[in-house]
Amino acid sequence: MSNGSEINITYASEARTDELLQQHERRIWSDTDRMFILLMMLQWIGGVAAAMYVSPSTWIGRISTVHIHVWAALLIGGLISLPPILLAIWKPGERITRHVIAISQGCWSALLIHLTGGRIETHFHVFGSLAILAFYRDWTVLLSATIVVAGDHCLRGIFWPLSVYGVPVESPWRWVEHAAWVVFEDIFLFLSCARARRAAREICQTQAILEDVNRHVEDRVTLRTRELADAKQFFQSVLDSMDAHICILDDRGTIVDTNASWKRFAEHNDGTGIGVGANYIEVCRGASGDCEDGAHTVADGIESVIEDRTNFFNSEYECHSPDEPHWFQVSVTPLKSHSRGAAVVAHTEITERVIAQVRLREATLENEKLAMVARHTDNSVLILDTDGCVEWVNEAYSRMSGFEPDEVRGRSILAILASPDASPRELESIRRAVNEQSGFDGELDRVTKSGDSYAVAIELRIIRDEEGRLLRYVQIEKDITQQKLAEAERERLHDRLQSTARQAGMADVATGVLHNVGNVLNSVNVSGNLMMEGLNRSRVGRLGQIAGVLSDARDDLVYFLTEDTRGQHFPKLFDELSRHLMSEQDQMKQELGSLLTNIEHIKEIVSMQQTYATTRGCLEPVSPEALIEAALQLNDAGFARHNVSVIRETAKCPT
Amino acid sequence: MIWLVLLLVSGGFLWHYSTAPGAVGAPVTKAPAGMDVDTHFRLVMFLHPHCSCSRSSVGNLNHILQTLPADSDVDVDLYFFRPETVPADWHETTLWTEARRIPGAVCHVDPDGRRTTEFGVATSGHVLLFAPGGARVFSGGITSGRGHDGENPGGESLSRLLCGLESAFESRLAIEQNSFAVYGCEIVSTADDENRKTQ
Repeated sequence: MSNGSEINITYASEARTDELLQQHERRIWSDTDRMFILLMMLQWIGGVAAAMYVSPSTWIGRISTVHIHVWAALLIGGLISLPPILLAIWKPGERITRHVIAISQGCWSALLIHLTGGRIETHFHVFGSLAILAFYRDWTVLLSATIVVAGDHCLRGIFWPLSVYGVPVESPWRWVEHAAWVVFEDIFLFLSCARARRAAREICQTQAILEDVNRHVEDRVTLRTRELADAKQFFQSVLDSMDAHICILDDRGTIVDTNASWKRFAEHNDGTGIGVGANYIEVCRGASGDCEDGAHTVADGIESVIEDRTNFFNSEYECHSPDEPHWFQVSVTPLKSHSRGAAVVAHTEITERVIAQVRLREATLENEKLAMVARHTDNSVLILDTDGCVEWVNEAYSRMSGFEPDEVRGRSILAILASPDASPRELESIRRAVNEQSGFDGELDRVTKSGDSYAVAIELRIIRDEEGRLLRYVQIEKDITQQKLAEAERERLHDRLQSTARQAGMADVATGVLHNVGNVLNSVNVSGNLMMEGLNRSRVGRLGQIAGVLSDARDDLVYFLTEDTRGQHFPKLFDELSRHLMSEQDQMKQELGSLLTNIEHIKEIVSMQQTYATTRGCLEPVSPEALIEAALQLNDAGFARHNVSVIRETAKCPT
Repeated sequence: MIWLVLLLVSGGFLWHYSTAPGAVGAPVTKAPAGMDVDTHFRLVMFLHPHCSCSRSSVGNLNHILQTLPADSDVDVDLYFFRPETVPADWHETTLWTEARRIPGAVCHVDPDGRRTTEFGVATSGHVLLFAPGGARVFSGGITSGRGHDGENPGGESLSRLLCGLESAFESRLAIEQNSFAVYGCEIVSTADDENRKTQ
């Protein structure tokens, strides 16, 4: 397990050690098999060559044939060598292969000993073969070879000693002596094999540990490589995300790397002349036009940094395009520890900053003017912080209120505005405006430091930043004391004028009514006179005379009417009187209708004048709040008597 | 297993070949006429110059002669077979060179194997020893096998005869028991022998 920069190594597992040992042994076995392929072929070829050299032919007189030893070397040698060669090719590293090789090698020893007539020197082939077979580090292989050699010596020593010892007669137990020497060597070879195997196991164990270490190291390297790649990607991304045009120069000023912004700049300028591989110092030296001076300055700066005459170079220059102005800032930083780079050149377009500075200067001048206005205006100007406390007041405030700036700085605006003369409603509105961060427009009665009352028109405004966050409050107070007095006077005069006008109007109306009514009354008078004359001329009185006559003659009306002469005129009289009265009645009806018409006319005149008098009311602007307040004040006594509490909530009236 | 059996069979074949002696022929029992054997032993060896097995015979002969006492009186003649139809240096092989190095030995070219035939010998490496007076006291090979150097019954018997340690009787008895087999090439083929006889 690894932690930080330390690597803790665990002991390699036995299984892994055994696996490595098996791989190691199989590799050794395979390599030794391949070696024995060569050895077998060499022995085979060597045997045939020796046979052909020593006894190539057998003769019968002048006739020669191939010697039987050549055939023996060719055929028997092939019989001995080919199976192990084929096994070594087909099954390298297998147990059967190395045992067949061991048996073959023993057979080769036997054959060579026989072919050399049992020369004792040839017996060294046995020991050499055992030593070579020990390459397998497998004692069982030595055992196989030993069995073959011992068996060969035993059989031939007993039945054919001349073949193995070179003498026709020998002790039948001499093979034991030879076998004993072989075993003698085997003992040490066994020990060597065991030691080699133990050493191989230790090596494998060490290798397993190293693998463990390597695995951890590789993991660490992989992790570090990934981190390095991430870091490189990160820094490349950072560089690419920067608007500045950045390039890395070597010690001769050649561009070796750039960021994306530099590439875009190069592509935008249709030039590969400032891409990777170009000499940027020469590019700057060769600049002309408006940018010439700035480019030469940049070239000087780069050379001074590369030549270690300065640690940092920074400059600003202008390089305008035909369409728009451009300003740039260039910084050159040494890159001493980099493998290729010598300096980092970063061009940053500062056009916006320069323009902003120009605008800032203009804004500063504007602010100075505004400050001058604020300082010298007759209106009080207060700047409040976000908590509604005074930060700054102008001179007009001191003149107006009598308080010096230090006396009000830091105090809450509500505390400053609060006075016995101030309307609680207005104060509440201001408090709500501060809390809700809304504006306020209103009037408020205030008291100076010396106790004099004065009225101000307050304009409270919220100052926010571009994101809408509250920055400050600005409160402008205008002294409207004189204005209010003037308004009061104007209202008084207005009321008086209105009353006078109303009275004049009423006089006009009365005059008009009287005039119109007078005209109609003339007609009424005429109608009345006519009716009076008609009544005066009426013969209704004759009815009384008739009634008297008839009353006198009531005793004998029939006679009177029929016989009496006077009575005889009565029907005619009634007829004439009836016509006369009917005529009078019609005439009176007509006059009376005219009279009624005139009276209705008078009524209409009066009604119309009343209508005119109503619609001729004087319109004047009235605040609904003031109107409501006035209405409520008219009923204050009733509310107080009935213990009624009135809560006023009115929205701001639209203007 | 088949492989092991084949190996054993091959070993048996080699054993059979190595232990198979050459033809003994009909060696003469007395020195032919004209051979100087009056006062001293005469040893005659017949060789095929190209017989590789005969190197052991020449070597063993050299060893025997080297071990003889200084006063030993023996003449040594080595006859090298050479057919008449072959180049003149056909017989000058390594075996010829080694034979000429034997002190006191006289190498002769045996044209067409006439002397070989005359002495009744058939196999290269065959040694005949004639005692003073012409009696043959030894006949056979002086190797224990094909190409085998070192001690062998024939060589030991020959050495003892020359040193006077063994009697002719004992040697003749051994010869009759075929104890001194000759291992080498056949010097004169039967066909050549019949041709020569025909001629």
